[in-house]
Formats: sequence, structure tokens, C-alpha cells
Amino acid sequence: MTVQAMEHDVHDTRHEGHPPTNTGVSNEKMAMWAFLGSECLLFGALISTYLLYRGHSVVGPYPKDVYDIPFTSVSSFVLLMSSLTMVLALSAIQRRDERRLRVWLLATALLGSTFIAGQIYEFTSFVHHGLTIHTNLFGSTFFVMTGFHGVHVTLGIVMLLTLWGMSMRGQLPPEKAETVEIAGLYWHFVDIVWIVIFTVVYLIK
Amino acid sequence: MTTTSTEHEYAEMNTETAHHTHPSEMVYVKVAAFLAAVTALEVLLSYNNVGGEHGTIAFLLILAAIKFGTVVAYFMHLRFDHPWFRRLFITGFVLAIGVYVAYLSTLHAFTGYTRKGP
Repeated sequence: MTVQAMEHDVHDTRHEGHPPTNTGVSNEKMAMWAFLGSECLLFGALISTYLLYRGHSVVGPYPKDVYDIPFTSVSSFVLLMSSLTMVLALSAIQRRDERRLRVWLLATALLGSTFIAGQIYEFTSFVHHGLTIHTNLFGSTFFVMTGFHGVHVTLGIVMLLTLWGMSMRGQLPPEKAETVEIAGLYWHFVDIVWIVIFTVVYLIK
Repeated sequence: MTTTSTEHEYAEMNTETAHHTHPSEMVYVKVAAFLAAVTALEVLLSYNNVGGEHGTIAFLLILAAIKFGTVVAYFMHLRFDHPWFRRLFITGFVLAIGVYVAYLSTLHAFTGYTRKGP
């Protein structure tokens, strides 16, 4: 293939706001979507293993003994609202409003931290009820699944605080809006995983 | 044109293009209010067995699917973005659903064949 033909193959994507790529879309965003697609398989494995062993524990405590639905509902609401503050942060940087970007990034990180604090409280309460990762099949599958999700949320908080710090130092100008969008995609993904966990694990008896 | 100025030019266009294609802040707030209402409905349904045990499970799964789809479409902008992103995510999602439904069916998770505990 000649150099001219190769150059012709590379789409002119200037109107789409990123350097020319073979696919015509941003490579970084494409990588994040591919990563999120693969994460569906990871969380699918954890959720289906929980479902497979549900009702198979031969010793307690059982889910009905430890779940606190009103408390988890509030936690779920907090995480859901953090998705709103995340899109508002993206909207702010796209409008070149750096002050609001920082406010919404910090609000998202705080809501995420509240969710994690709730999860730590829930885990501690389960341990006080006698449920640990070693107690029974319910304990093993529950702690691994929700623990993995909690680690993802924690990594998201680290990402958000890094973006906030970059913005404070003037390293996150409006031209880098796509960086905030990509971090936002990850954040919304942990939210949709929790939507599934909340329904399948907590609400369906 | 230098590399830096070209990158700057693309980045400038990035913010402008995104600003035109993504929904307004009011739409985001309405979507969040809708999600909060659906979550409240889910919790309400879980306490009242509407349509029996299977009916409640079906309702809860439908509501979770609606919330999932709404976040992906509006907050993750999959409804407005390039079809490539949609294809990538749907491929992973459908693959996960297919693999794990097959896995659970093989181990009789839906029929309760191997159930022993309470």
C-alpha cells in the first residue's frame, strides 16, 4: 500500500474534535468502551456465581438475617446521584466553566466516598452478625462481589480527585474535556453495575 | 502548523462538538429525577408482592433494565455518540449475558435442581 493510499485510509476527523484515526473515533474513548465491555464479563461472573450459590448455605446467617434494605436503598440513591454530579462536571468543562467543574468533581468524589463509607458500615454490621467471607457460601460470594465493586468505586474516587487536583493546578483546561468524559464513563459504569447488584442481590428475595 | 497548535485545535473542536451533541443540564437533572423515582418504585415493589413472587421479580428486573438503559443512553451518551462505542459495549454486554445464562442453566440454577439450603 502506498503512503498516499494509507493517508487516504485515515479518516479526516477534525470536525469530530480529535486527531485523525483509522476508525474515525477517539482511540482513548474507544479503549474505555472496550474495557467497559470486558468489565461486563467480570461482573457477570461475580453476580452469576452469587446467584448460583444463593440458598445453598447450610449454616447462617442468611441474607434475610443481615440485609438492611432501607439503608442500602439510601446508599444506592447516593451512588445514582453521583452520576448526575459527574455529568454536570462534564457539562461544566464543555462550557469552559472550570470553577464549576471542580465543584462537581469534588461533589462526585464526596458522594462516592459516602457510598464507600456505607459499604464499610454494612460489612462491619454483617461481621457483627457473624457473617464473614469464611462463614458460608452466601458470605463468600457476597463479600467477593460487593468487595470488587467497592474497589472499582474507590479507584473511581482516586481518578476524580486526580482530575480535581489537575484542575486546581491548571492542568485540566477545557480543551481536555475528553479526559473528564472518559473518567465519567468509568464512573457511570460502576453505577450501572450497582443498579444490577441492588436489584438482583438485595431486592429480589 | 506545529504539533502543539494542531492538538490545541482538535481539543478546541472537541469541547465545541461535544457541547452541541450532548444533552443540556436540565435534561440530566430530569433523567436523575426519573432514576430516583424508579429506585423508589423498586423498593416499594420489593416490600409489596405485586403479581406474586414471579410477578415481583419480573417487575424488578424490568425496572432495573430501564434504569440501566437510561444511564447508558443519557449519562454515558451512548444514544448520541458514534455507533462504534455502542457496538463495543453491546458486544461485551450481550456476550456476558449469553455466557452466564448458559453457565447458570447448565448448573440448573433456574430450576432449583441442586438447591439444598433454606
